[in-house]
Amino acid sequence: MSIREEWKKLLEERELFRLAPLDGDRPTRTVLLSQEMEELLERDMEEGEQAERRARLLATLQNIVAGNHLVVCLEPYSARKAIVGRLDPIEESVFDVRCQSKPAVRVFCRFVEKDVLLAVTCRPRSAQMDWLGWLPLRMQSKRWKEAIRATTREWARLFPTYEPVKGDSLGEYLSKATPERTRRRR
Amino acid sequence: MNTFQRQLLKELGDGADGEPISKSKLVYLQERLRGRFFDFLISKFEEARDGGLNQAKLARRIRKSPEVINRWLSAPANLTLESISDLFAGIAAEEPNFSSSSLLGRPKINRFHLDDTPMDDGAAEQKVAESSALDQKGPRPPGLPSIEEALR
Repeated sequence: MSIREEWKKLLEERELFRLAPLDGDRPTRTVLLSQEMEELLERDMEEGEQAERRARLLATLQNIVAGNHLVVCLEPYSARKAIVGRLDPIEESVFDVRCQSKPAVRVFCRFVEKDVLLAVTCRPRSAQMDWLGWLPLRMQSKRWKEAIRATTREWARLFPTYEPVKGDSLGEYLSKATPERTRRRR
Repeated sequence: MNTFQRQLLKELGDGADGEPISKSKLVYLQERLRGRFFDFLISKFEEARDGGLNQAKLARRIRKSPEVINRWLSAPANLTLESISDLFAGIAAEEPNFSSSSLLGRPKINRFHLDDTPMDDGAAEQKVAESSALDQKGPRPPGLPSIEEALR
């Protein structure tokens, strides 16, 4: 069975969920949601700052599905404005979708195949957000590592015999994407 | 369609005498527009790049530093009406045209990305061969029998 048949089977079994675009938008990429992410996006929420943050998150993920142009940083610790960044260690091939508007959140992901992203967990970047149920990542490497581990654990549960997309060429991960121009860290 | 989108279309559909549109729905539409407009802008830049434009030339043309151009072309959140005007002038001697369409009653697209698309060989090779551990040529741990010995 190919990995594509595998993720489609997981959709049928409701182990994974597909992020639907707004009606009328033609989906040219796929964002697969873990149960945690699906629950997060579907949960009833009172109007307020949290609901607004979640609305931005939904729009950011739907921008990916709609095939809009993405700026991506493949070099860990170097992303400044990129919407998608590869995390350290690069061998794990875990990425975050960076929802930058304050208060910022990060969605931890892996690429199942080109233009197919598995969104596993969403963590607050710096400010505590009760609706997410996780402590902010801040600059604490322990929390980043834990989120990366959560992503690889969920991958292993869903796709035990498959590897995520790996490599240093952006074209292996996404169409319509350009690398962020970064200054090398010293 | 998820709950949020159903609520969004309901609120928008209530019309001029309806309740105020909730802030989260307005914020969603702002973010969506940013992404869509950024996509439009970058596609313009990509077209012009095929004709020899680059960020440094663009920066010189519209009297900005390369850092500013890089920031504008890196994230939708950095754009303003002023920067959009400058960018379109510098990229293609153009200005955007305007039209809009209703968000209500739009047909749902029933085909998803990759529906009925067979997988190419390269992607299919992602599978970790179940026998890969047995195929490895590295030294066998002490005490572990070879496959042949184990099968004998």
